[in-house]
Amino acid sequence: MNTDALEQEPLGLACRDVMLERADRGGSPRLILNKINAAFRKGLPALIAGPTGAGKTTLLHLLAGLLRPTSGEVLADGQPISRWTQRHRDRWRRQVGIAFQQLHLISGRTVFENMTVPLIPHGYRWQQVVCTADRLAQQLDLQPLFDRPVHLLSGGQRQRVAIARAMIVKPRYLLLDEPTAFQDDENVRLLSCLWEQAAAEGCCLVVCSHDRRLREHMLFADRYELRTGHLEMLA
Amino acid sequence: MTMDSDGNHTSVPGTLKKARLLLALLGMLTFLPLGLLSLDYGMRANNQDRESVRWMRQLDLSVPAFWPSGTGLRHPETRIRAVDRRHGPEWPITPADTAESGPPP
Amino acid sequence: MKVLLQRPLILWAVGDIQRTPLQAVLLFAAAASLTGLVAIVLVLGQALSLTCDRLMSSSPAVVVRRINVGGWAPLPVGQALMHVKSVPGVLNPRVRLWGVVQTDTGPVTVVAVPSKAIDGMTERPLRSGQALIGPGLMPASQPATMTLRGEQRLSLKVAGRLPAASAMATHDLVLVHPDDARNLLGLAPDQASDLALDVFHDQEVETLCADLNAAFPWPVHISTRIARQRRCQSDIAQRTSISALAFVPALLAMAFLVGALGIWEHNQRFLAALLKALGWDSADLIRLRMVEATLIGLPAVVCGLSCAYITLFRWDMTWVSQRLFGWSTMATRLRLNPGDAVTGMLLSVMMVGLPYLLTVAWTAWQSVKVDPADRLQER
Repeated sequence: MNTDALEQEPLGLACRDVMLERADRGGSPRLILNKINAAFRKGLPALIAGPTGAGKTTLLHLLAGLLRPTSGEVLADGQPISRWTQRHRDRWRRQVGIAFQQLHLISGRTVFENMTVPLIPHGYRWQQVVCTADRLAQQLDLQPLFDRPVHLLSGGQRQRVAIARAMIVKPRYLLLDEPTAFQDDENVRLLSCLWEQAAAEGCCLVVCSHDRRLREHMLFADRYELRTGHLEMLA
Repeated sequence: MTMDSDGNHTSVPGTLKKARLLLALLGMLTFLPLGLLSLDYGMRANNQDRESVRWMRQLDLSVPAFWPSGTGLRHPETRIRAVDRRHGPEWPITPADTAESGPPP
Repeated sequence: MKVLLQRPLILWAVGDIQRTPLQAVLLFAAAASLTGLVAIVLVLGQALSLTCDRLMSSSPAVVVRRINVGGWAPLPVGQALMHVKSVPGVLNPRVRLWGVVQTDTGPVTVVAVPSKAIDGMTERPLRSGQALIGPGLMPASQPATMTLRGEQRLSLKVAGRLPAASAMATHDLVLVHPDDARNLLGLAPDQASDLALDVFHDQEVETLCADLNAAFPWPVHISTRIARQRRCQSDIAQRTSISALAFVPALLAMAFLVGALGIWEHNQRFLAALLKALGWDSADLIRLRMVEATLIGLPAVVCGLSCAYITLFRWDMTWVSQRLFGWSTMATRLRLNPGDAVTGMLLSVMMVGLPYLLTVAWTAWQSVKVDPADRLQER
């Protein structure tokens, strides 16, 4: 995608000539992402596919403001978040819902507690938190598991908890890394409906996955392929 | 049970109940002793030594009974550092005094 | 409490505490014992000192004792009163008849009381052969006679006990009839132990001493209340400062607390990174740590203060007399005034609470400087 098109798409997330270098174990720099230009628009879910190790997770972390590019910039609704200090990015991340590939659930805490942890900084009262969690848990079939510690759940259940955690704040930007890896077809359908609903409400949805079921899904308006650090939009 | 804005009942998670219990326990550990101490303070402050003060005054005692009888601190007025022969210029120095205090200058 | 329960951050902090109960209990115990120890050390000296001051404010302003080369000499009553009345500024001169005699259980202070009842404090006047004993002498179950050995040996019938509430003044006193006192102390009927007097203002005392010295035809030793108070305060300060050695284990406990907090925070860095990735910022994380610290620290401090309060101010406390003032027999039951504790308690809360909170804040600040992406990728 060229930069002129980017300037016509101020809403959502965008990458402008983003490059990311990392030092490998030997200490020599390795190029992870090479001149990424992309626009992820609100209401139009995007799928990023690619082989393992292509840098999908790294790109997602960049979009979430967890990483800063070596060069180029990441924009959120036209704001150059990659140039902000960590403090400002942390604040901005309240609008972001992110589900990690490794899930990163808090062991020893229950499903309910893991789900609701992003709500705490928002200053909601406890009853609001309980109601919000309850509603989302019903949609994801997690309500019977509320009081169960997450380390006692199956992989699929844990993944749904991670997705619920990402979605509970009704984020402006929803970033999901391999969200269907442990889900059966029925749950994939369930999740897709939820994401469709979120996108319809104006959420900017970006999903990184090499799950064939998502590749073929009608949900996604834009599809990308990330290969050897280059991002290519698919027709 | 709690109710959301649509009037639907939602169940209170068990973790909330345990947290409430612990919070109540911590609250009790804080406010109960404070309350009891305040009550005791209100009842006893500034009147604990009233009776002892009264007896000190009545009996003309010099020092309270913190120290045992017979010790220097209990009877400080008995502690005389030295008997100075020249405690008043109007008293003449006797030959006995001179012999003990040394030859006159 | 309802307000607290509505705050998710507080409930999350409680959940954190629930997940690490051993650490929470250890921290609680350390903070409580530290606070209690520091409070006892700080409050004890202050309470003893203020109580002693209050008691001694009722003692005579000046005591005049006749002395000779051998030390104390009996005071001729008539002459002494005559001479002292000539000194301007002297109020209410009166003779005292008292001394230290031996009993089977050790020395006691004998004080003669006048032949009339003591202003409603005793039921009837004391007769010769009778004694009123202090609450620290002879348990109630023992036979009601007391043998006193002074210049003479006297066996007196115990006519009553002085009230327990007056123990700080009368613990080991024996009140006797003046005739019995004279027999015990070897004084003639016209003699007394010393002379007590008061003044208009304590500041006048120093200037009065020279006049008093000059007023008597024999050498006298003058003891002022100010000097006595100073000596007593100095002794109390010396004895209670030894208890400041307790600060050594207290400091070790504090070091443990700091170390434990530091280790705990280090393990929490991954969690801090994750929370930051989920929308928490540094202020939220520090707030969480401070709430956790307060939830543990506040009850701990209160429990520590309560233990210190009970240890020092419970009814008829004797351990201070035994440990600090060297009583070998029944020690004085001290009734310290809780009103004297406030400053010491507040100081001990600050001495423990402030470093505790500062340590928590500092270690929390260190942990929130974490880069979320780096930490998450480590896992």
